[in-house]
Parts: sequence; C-alpha cells; structure tokens
Amino acid sequence: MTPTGYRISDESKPSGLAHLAVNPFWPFLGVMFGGAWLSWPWFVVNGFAVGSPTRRRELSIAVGGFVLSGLLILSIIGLADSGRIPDSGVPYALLTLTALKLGVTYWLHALQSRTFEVYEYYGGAVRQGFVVILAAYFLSQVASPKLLAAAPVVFLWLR
Amino acid sequence: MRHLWAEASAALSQGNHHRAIESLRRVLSVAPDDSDAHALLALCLLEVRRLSAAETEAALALSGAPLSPLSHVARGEVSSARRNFPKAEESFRAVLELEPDVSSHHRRLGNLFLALGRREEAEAELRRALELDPGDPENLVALGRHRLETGAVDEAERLARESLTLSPGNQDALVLMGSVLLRRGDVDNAREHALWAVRIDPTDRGALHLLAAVKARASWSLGLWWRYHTWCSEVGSRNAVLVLLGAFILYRFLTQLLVDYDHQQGAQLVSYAWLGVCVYSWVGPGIFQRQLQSELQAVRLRKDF
Repeated sequence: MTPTGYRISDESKPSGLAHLAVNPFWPFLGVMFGGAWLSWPWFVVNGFAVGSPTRRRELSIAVGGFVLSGLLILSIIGLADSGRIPDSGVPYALLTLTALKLGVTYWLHALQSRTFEVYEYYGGAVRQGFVVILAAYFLSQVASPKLLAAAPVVFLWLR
Repeated sequence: MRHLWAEASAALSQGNHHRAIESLRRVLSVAPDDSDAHALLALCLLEVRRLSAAETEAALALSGAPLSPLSHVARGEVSSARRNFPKAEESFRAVLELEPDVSSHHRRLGNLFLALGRREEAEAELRRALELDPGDPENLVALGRHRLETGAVDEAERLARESLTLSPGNQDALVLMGSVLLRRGDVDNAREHALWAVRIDPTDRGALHLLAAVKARASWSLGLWWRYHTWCSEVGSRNAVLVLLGAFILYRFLTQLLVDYDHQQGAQLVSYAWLGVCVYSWVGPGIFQRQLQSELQAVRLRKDF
C-alpha cells in the first residue's frame, strides 16, 4: 500500500528499482564484509530503489566519502614519503581512514533508515541482502591479497 | 472536511497516532494550507519518532500561521525532541507571549528547563502552571517529576498521590508514582504501576521507560546496558556514535601500540575485551526486549485502544 493524497516529507516515492530495495542494515554490513566499494554504491542504489527523499544527499555523501578517503590516503603517503610520519607511524595514521569510512557509512545508514522504516510501513517490497554479503566476503578473501600486492593504494581506497 | 477532523481527533484521543496521521493526511489533501492540520500532524509524527518529517510539518504550520499558538507549540515540541533546545525555548516563549495565562504553556517551558538542568527556572514555571490551573493533574505530575529529580522524594510522592486522587487513571501520574516507588527500592509495586500505565496506552514512552527501568533493576548486566542506552538517549544519537567511533579508534590504536611494543598477550586481551563489548551490545538489547515482551504479553489493553 502506498500513501495517496498529501505526501509527508519523509515518505518515499518508490522507483522502477523498487524490486532491489533492501534494509539499509545490509549495505551497513557490507562495509565490514566487503568494503566501501560495496557498501557506499549499494546505499546509493538502495536510496533510489526505495525512492528516498534524501537520495541525492546520500549520493553526495558517498561520492564525498570516496573523494575524501582518496585525499586522505594520498596525504598519508605524501607525509610518509617526506619523512614527516615515520614508517612505524603509518598504521596509526591509517586509523583515521578507518574512522572516516565508518563515519560515512554510519551517516548513510542513519539517513536511509528513517525513509526505509516508512517505506516498509506502507508495505514496500524488501529483499534479503545475505547472498550479496556472502559473495562479497568470498570475493574479498580471494581478491584482497592480489589487489594489495598489485595496487596497495587502490586497495586501501576501496576496502 | 469536518468528518475528517472528527476522525483525526478520535484517533488522537485513543492514542492511535498512525490512524490520526492518515486522517490528517486526508485533511491536507483537501486543504493543503490548513496550518492547524500541519501542526497536529507534526505532533503526531513526533509521537511515532518521524522527527525530520515532524520538523517540516511544524515549519509549514508556522509559516502559514505565525500567530497561532498551536504552530508554536508544535515547533517547540519538535525542536525539543531534535535537541535544538534554543529553538524550543524560543517557541515556548513565543507561545507564552501569545497566551500568557495558559497553564500548559508554562508546563512545557518548565519541562524544557528541567531537561536542560535549569532547575530553578523549571520550578518557577511549573509552580506558575499549577497556580493557573491547580486542578490539572498534569501540572501536579510535572512538578512532581521536578521534585523527584531534585531528590525531594516525599514531596514527589505527595504530588503523585494528589494527581491520582484527581484522576485515578492518569498515566503520567502512575508513571511518576512508579518512579517514586522505584527510587525507594519497592521494585514490585513500581512494576505494578508501570504495567497499569502500559495497560492504558502501550505506546506511551514514559510507561515503557519505567517498565524497562524496573526490569533493569533485576539484573546488573542488563542494568548496565539500560544505563548505557539511557546515556545514549541523553547525549543524542550523533554524539553517542562519535563516542563509539572514538572508542573503536582507541581500541585499534591500543592494539597496534601493544603489538609494536611486543606485548602480544596484552593486544589479545584488549581484542577479547572489545569482542566482549560487541557481543554484549549485540545480544543485550535482544534479551532485554524479550524480557519486556514477556511482561507485556500479560497486559490486557483497554477496550477502545
């Protein structure tokens, strides 16, 4: 059942992608079992699928997250190369990257959860995301060592 | 149109906020500029915790009728729930300028001051509310809450009893009485009062909060989770997440540091401790909710709910 008549601002306008809608909890888990490469684009697709009124904001946050994490990695590498961060300090500096990624993921989750609850309340179709998480986990297990060896910066950026 | 308003009012009086929202939606489909409908819708959305939508509706109400007390009340209540306390205070003061002798407006401002820890100002407003309408049990309850918070348990009990004499089924008075009993360590009677209040309206947050506090008393581990949960509500979810993120970074920093200094065992211990916190925060709410649900299954709802 979709609400008719006056539309309250947090109510979704389900799109043609509605059959792909999942609980935002799954993309949230995605960052733990896959990485930002899975989680953030998934949040964006899900935002469009449930017709989230904040979907453009979610898209901006995800894009901003990728840009910021890229800049952060480049800064850490630059500081390490110039000797301002000793080699032993790099793992500590990389913790800021983890914090940034978790913060962006939480922000996306908090934003989308509000709409999702209303979407679900009006009977919107919801799929399970377990298979995607499982596939992403195995893919990460297989691909991570190879990507880490071939392109460590890209690995850190996407993971 | 009139029947839609009647429908919305009936739903509101029964505490059925979801139905009231649907009725008000129909009112607004016919009259999209009806400020009272926007304000009431904001208050209903607030009850079901749809805060961003409630904020939008309150803003629409106020832009349509800047001199309507109901619009200011809606904006104040929503701002308070969103922890925008300066805006809430501004709204409650604006409504008092429009209607200085309405006791409920003084009570709202008093409750806001109480939440902000401005106890003297809170007491002045709550006493003024009681002066204006001494027969309103809500005014007695509000002052009673203030007295309980300031440690005047006897006076809080007297006010709770007085309001229950005026209105024996008053849910807020029952919750206050239960809180007084819980403060005195009378857990069984506190539980009875909480269940009685839940029977009247199972969606009432005050009653459920009291029942949860009673259950938390029964076990220290669940009590710990309850305190943590209450703390999160007090500081707001954004701040709570920032603290959790900080704790996570601290944990990772500490393990890295211990590994670097060759304290593998220490690093392992810290990891186990963190795992324990994660498992507890994952499992704790589930157990707590199950305990509450088993308690709530025995509750018989009133017929018109």
